[in-house]
Order: sequence, then structure tokens, then C-alpha cells
Amino acid sequence: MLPTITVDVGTTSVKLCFFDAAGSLIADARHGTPTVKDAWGEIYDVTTLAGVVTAFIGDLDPAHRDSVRRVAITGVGESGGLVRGDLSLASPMILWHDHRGATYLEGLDSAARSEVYGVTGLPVNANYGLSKIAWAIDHADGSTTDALWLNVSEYLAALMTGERWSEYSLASRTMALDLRTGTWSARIAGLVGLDLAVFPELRAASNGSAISAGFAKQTGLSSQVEVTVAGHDHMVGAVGAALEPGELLNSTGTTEGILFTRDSPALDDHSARSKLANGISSTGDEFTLFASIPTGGSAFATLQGMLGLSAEQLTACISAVHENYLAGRIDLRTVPLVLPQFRGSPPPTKNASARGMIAGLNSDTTADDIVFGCFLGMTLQFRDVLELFPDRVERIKVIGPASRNPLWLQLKADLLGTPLSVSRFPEVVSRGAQSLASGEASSWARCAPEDVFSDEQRTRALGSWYDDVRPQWEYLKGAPA
Amino acid sequence: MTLVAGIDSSTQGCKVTVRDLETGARIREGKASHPAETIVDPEVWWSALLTAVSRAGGLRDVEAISVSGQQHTPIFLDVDGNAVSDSPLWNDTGSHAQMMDLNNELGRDEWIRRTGLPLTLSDTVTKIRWLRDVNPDAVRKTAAVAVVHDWLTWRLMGYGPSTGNIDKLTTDRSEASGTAYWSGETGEYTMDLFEHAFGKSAFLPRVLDPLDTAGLTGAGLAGIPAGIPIGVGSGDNAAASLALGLAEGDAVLSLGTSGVVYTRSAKPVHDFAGYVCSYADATGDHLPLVATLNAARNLDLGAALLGCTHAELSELALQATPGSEGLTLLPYFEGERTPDLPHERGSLHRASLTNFTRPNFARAVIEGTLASQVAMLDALRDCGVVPSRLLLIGGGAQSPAVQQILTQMVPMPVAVPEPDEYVTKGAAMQAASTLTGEFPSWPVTMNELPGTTLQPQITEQHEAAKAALGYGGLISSLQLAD
Repeated sequence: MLPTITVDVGTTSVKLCFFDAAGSLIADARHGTPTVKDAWGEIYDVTTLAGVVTAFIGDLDPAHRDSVRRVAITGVGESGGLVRGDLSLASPMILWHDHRGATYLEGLDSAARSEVYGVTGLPVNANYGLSKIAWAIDHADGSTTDALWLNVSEYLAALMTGERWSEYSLASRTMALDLRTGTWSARIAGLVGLDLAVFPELRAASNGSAISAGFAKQTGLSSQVEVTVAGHDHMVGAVGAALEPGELLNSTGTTEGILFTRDSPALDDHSARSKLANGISSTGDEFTLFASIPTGGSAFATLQGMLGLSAEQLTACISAVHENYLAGRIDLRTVPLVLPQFRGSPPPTKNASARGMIAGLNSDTTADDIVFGCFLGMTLQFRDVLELFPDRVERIKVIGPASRNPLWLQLKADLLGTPLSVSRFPEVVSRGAQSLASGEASSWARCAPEDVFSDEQRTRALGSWYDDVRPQWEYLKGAPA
Repeated sequence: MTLVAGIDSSTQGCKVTVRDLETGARIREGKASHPAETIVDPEVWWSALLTAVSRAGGLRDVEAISVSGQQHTPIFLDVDGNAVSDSPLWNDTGSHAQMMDLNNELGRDEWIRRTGLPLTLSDTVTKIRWLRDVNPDAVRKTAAVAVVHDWLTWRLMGYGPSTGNIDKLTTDRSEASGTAYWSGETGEYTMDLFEHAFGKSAFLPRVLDPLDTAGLTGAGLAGIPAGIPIGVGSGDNAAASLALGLAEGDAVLSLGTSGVVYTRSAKPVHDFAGYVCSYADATGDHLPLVATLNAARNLDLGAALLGCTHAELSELALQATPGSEGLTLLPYFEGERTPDLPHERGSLHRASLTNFTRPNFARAVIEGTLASQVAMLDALRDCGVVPSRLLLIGGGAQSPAVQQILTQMVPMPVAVPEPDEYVTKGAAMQAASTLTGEFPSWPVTMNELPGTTLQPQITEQHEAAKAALGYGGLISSLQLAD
């Protein structure tokens, strides 16, 4: 491996790491993702974001900083903004879940939507870049003559190199990329009135650029350092986890991702109806099939805030509930049924305005019951989404904060009746970024995986419980948003 | 100083309050608990009454007495005055099947037409059918059926087991109206309904007029002087409304273990929608009443889930904005009777990352609780009874958040009477009337709540949440937890 600084721009935090040539994590830092509100929604505070990155580099041990050969940037897909040739912003840098461009998609009829899926492999949705680009053009601050649409990770790379390009896995989240040809689609861009001139050059994750002299001077990095855009965080995680065909990557960040790699995209009617998202992998030679469950690890913070517990207290609560569950001391019949759509629904509905519900509250319901019900509901939701995939699961690899939540993991293993292989290494996405920047394969063993086995008796009990609540579960999912 | 005593034999216990006849001021009181079981030997109520009298320092200096009590709960007596079986309380759910049977046999609307009551498992008539089904031998021995206050009044007259004189049993209009074999229109028992349910006739207590005297106390009762007059007595809500000085146009929202809304009406009502019970009051008028199973205990659950005190729950709720940013609670934690969702449970709606906060949850608990209560005002309105002032009483009434949020939900002035034992107070007023020939005008201090801007979205969210779960109108179309 090449000594690499990795930058992972997540929904709630920015993770910065320095890995040495042995692939060991030498230094790391985490900051809240800097965002601000504008008149339409939420945007990145790009000045602060850039400052977070340079500060991390500046804080590195000088010997380590001198050793750096690569900067690899990964992060959320679907975010972005218009960036001029002088790297000034012609529009806000818009967050991935911001729907300010939704109206540009309203006029698309079913034929157009089918066409979009057939070309881009994506269900029409305002999360993806296309409608945001159309909005940004119409609401630009000044000239857009030479402006290009860049994802936030690509924008950071541009600030470091002076060059603007788009990486394939991120490009495949714009809903403007022809999946099979790997080129921008003039036909799809034209559906919202866009010209291809706004789309940048495409590059594979392995194809970076040297840092600019100015950035080298500013940070003290060697002018030999190359910057690569490693790609969409979930897909970069798949590289870090050395995901193989038949393996499912369960990526648990603020949201929860389900990702398979494939030899070909899934563009059939079922996948389209299920709103499964196809993409190009960060290695550039595979396809991905992905679904995002909006409420993932964010449920932890939600519970923490609602119940008034510190992170340590909630962790202790989860641990105690987990012990009770393993000891058979939880009566499933008394557990509230939680539909954890706290930030919209996952496929097949993907309704951003859907909201969470908790049913079955009675006078004896406790905070522990709510916690157990919440993670059980998240597990049910996970299984529902997984069942939409045409792929057969031979192994489930779990990365992200869920690895620190024994209750969530055990419920998942038991409900699915499938053991999980869980990374105990916290920064698999960053490791994948180093791997991509170095042009070397990662290995799952380096992620210190541990098995979480399912238990037949608990699997039967959960199955029986689900048989009882299934009508209610289906009804809640179908209730008006 | 002339003293009178009011007794409240409630579900949980017996309270005795001694008051000054002139002012109504509380002089002293005593309390005793009732067992938690829902089928009990009625002797426990008499024993608790004597204990409460003793704890009140006895009643030797009292010149009149009257009893109020839990409605509906029957006592079955043989011809000698002995109880022939244990008594099922109004809240014993074992009579659900009998309620269904009686509704099926005569039709739900027939009960409403004849008695003004949408039949529930609480009504006396379902309890007597229950006894017929589970203990026909006891029915065979039964010569009289009374409710708790009737029987305690009779005991105060010196009657009891083996004394006979069951024909000396008396009751009042409010108690008779809770049996479902009495007509608010005629003021008479509907004996055919009693016999239909019980399979035979029996002696029923004589229904007294509001200012009558039930009799005189008997000799040899511990702590109770002999020969003092006993007031008519009443059901608990009727006693409270008498004490509150309820006038036509006034409605009471009682936020206790259950939620109750009642108002005063010159005429009985017939709610064929099935929610309003047309009871009689203690003055000669009527007391249309609606109830929810879930009320003040909702606040207990909310505080427990948030790990805070009731005061903190109120403070949190007042930090949130009306509508709790969309977070909506349907508080059917024990199932519900209004609307009719006996098998449902509580549910929380429209939770998101941004609105699922402690202040919003606290407020959603209170908004949901009050929305259920305010919906009962609509049920009264549908019967042509339109209140113009709301009195908030009960354990939940002292919460500042409950008070403020309620004023945002009802288009009428809201007042909170000062905390008092209004049931024993009403009973004491009935006792006083036996001495003076009229009810005393004892003052009630009201805290008039400041008016505020109505926030209709609270109710709208509640209705939308009900619609989302298929709770069309007040009747469930989907038994989710069935």
C-alpha cells in the first residue's frame, strides 16, 4: 500500500485517517460534517470543510506527513454543486438528501421514468444529482459558462489539484450516467433541460492528479502526492471489505446500505419496481446493486435524545437489553412494533416524507421496550429491503457503527437465520479508499472480522412473532405518510 | 357549628369528610382502602366505611350524613338481607360476553332507546346477567339487587345480614340511571329489561327525589350516632357535579384514571352513535357523560418513558410548539372505549429525526390525551348538548401544560376548580339538605385560565393519525392488535 491520507465525508461526520505503507491506521480524526441552512434546505459549509481537511494534514507528525503519497477522498453520493474553472462555486454545495430540485422531475411520465431506469439503473428520485443540477443552473449565482457539476468529494479533490473530474461510482449516482457505456447520457440530461457541457470528465478511482503547488505549500505535503477520488462511500466500503460475488455488504452509517457487486446491472422490471439502485463500482470493472435504508445508525442518536440518555447510558441500556434477549427474558408479545422511518422510507417506496410509527404501546411499556422494538423494527425493515434483491446471499459482511451494537447484530442474525461476519475495524471505508488509491486489493481479514451466529430457537421465536404482527407491520408500512 | 358528613365509597377506597354546614369547609376526614380485586365480598365496603369513620375521629358530633359511591356495582341480597354472592365491580371485564349477549338479544339501539345507555360491560344489567350465567343458584336466592351506595345507606339505617327489611333499600336517580333498567324519560324502572337480563324479578331500591331523606341512622354503629338523617346519596359523578355547582352550559372534564366528560342537561339524551351515557344528576336534571379508559395514567407513562417527573414532563411539553412538530400520539394504552377500540394499543405517529425529541414527545403525550377528551365534547355536541364553559378537574388538572394546551384546543373558557374532595362534598351537601330542605350554596373557588389562540392542528393531527390506522370515525374498522 501507499501511505495515504483518507477523507470520508459522511452524512453526520467527516472522518480523516492516515494509513502507513503497511496499511496500518496511524492517525485519525472525526469532525461533525459542517453544514448550514439556506433558503431552500441544507448545504455544505465548504470553507469549514476544507479547513477540517487542511487542519488534519497540518496536525500530522511531520515524518508521517512527509511520507504521504496519496490523498484519497470518499463520501456520500448524490451531493454536489456547480464549480467554475477558477474553483469558485456557482451554486451551493447541496447535501445528498436535499430535495430542492424535486419539481424538475415531476413532469416525467412513466415512459420517461422507465427510460431513466433503463439507462442509468436508478429509480427517479430527487436525491440524485440530476434534478439538483437543473435547479443549480436556474438558481446560479453569476455565470455558469464554464461551471461543472462536482460531488462534494470531487470538489475537495479539485481544491487540492486545481482539476475537476468525476469518479465513476459517484457519477453513477447522478442519474445522468449511461450505466452500460460509462458515459454521460445526453438523452437523460435533456429530460430536465440539461446540456452535457455541465458534466465533467470521468475517471476511475485509481486515476488521480497531483496536488497543486499551492496546496502543497499550504499543507506541507510533497508535490509528488496524488489525489484520487475513491468514490461513493458504500462502494468504497465494499472495496475495503474485499466484497466478492454472493456476498452482501451491510454498511451501517447514519443510513444503512445493502450492496452487492455484480457482473451486470439489474435493469429488469422487478428491480425497477423495487427501486433498487444500480451503479458502477469504485474499481470501475463491476456493477453494484444498492439500496439505502434512510434510518440506520441515526436511530441511536434519536433514541439517545428522546430518552435523555448519554451515549454511554444508551450503550449500557442496549447491552442490558441484549443480555435479556439472549437469556430469553424478553416477551416479544409485549414489545412495541416500531416502523423506524424516521427520515423517510426505504425501497420499494423511497418516500422521503414517510415518517416513523410506534404501535402497541401499553401502560407497561418501558424505555427498554422502546429500544428493543426500535432495533427489531430496523431489522425487519432490513429484511424487507433485502428480499427485494435478486441476489442470493452467501455471506453478510457488516461494517460501520453497528459492529458496536450487539443487540442490533444479534437480532439481524436471528431474524435472517444467517450468521454475520462483522468488522471490528471501524474505518473500513477509509481502508478501501487507501486500497483504491494504492491500486492494491484489501482483505477482509485485515478488518478483524468476528462472527455473530444465529440461534435456531430465537430464530423460531422471532418467526412466530413476525407471523403474528405481519398484518400490522404491512399495514403500518402502507399507512399514509 | 353544625357538622355534616359526606362519604365517598369509590373503587379504590372509602373517604369520609366532615364539613361545616354553614360554609362547607372541611373540618376533618378519614380514609380506608378497598381491595384491588374486581370481584369482592361487599362486606369489605362496609368495613372500610367504618374504618374511615373511625379515622375521621368518629361522627358523634355530626348531624346528618350521606353516601356517594362507585356507580353500577351490584350487591345481590336474599330476602333476609344476606349477600348471596361476591359482587363484580363495574370495572370487572368478566361481563364482556354478557354485554355482547344483551346487545345481540334486544339490539344495541333498543337499550339506548329505553334507558339512554349504550350498553357497556360496566352497567349493572350486564353484571346481573353475568351472575345468572356463572351462578344461577345465587340468582335463585336473590330477592333484591342494589348498588353500593344503596346498600351502604341501608346499612347505615341499621339493616344488614339477617335483618331482613330489604324493602327499605333506597337509591337515587343518578344510581338508577346507571343500571340500564331505568328510564330517564319516565323516572321509572324498566322491569322487563331487568327480568330479561336476570331471568326473574327482584326487589329494586325505591328511587328517591333529590331532596328526600333516605332514613335515619340505626343504633349500635361504631362511631356513628343513631337517629340522624341520611341523605339521598348518589353516584360519584353526580355528587361531584352537585358540589361544583354545575349549571346548564357547563361541562366537566375529569382527568383521572379514566377520562370523563359530562355536562348538565334538562333532558335525557339518546346517543345512537353509542358513546354518550344519559345518566341522571343529583338535582333532578340529567348528566350526559362520555368516558375514555386512558387519561391521567398517560402522563405517568410519558414521564416514565422520558425518565422524568410529572413537573418535568409539563416543563418539557411547554418547550415544544403546538402540534409537537407533527409528532402525534394516540394514547390507547389500555385499549379504548371512546372510540370503541378495546383491542388496540397506543401508537406514536410521524416520528422523524428532527421531531422525535423529549419536548415534542412530552407534548404529544399531553396533546394526545387531551385530544381524546376533547373528542368527547364533540360526542356531546352531536347529542345537541353544547357546553359553553369547561371545568377541568382530576389528578391531571394541576399540570400547567395540561391547562395551557387545553385552552388551545377548546373554543370556550376553561376554569380549574381549586383541589377538593368534590364527591364527598356533594354527598355532604345532600346530608345538609336533610337539615335545611335545600342544597347549601357552598363556594367553589375557580381558577379561570387565560384564553389563548386556538391551535386546530392538534386535533387535526389526532384525526389524521386515527385515519392512518383505519379508525374511521369513533368505531374501529381495523382491529390491529386482535
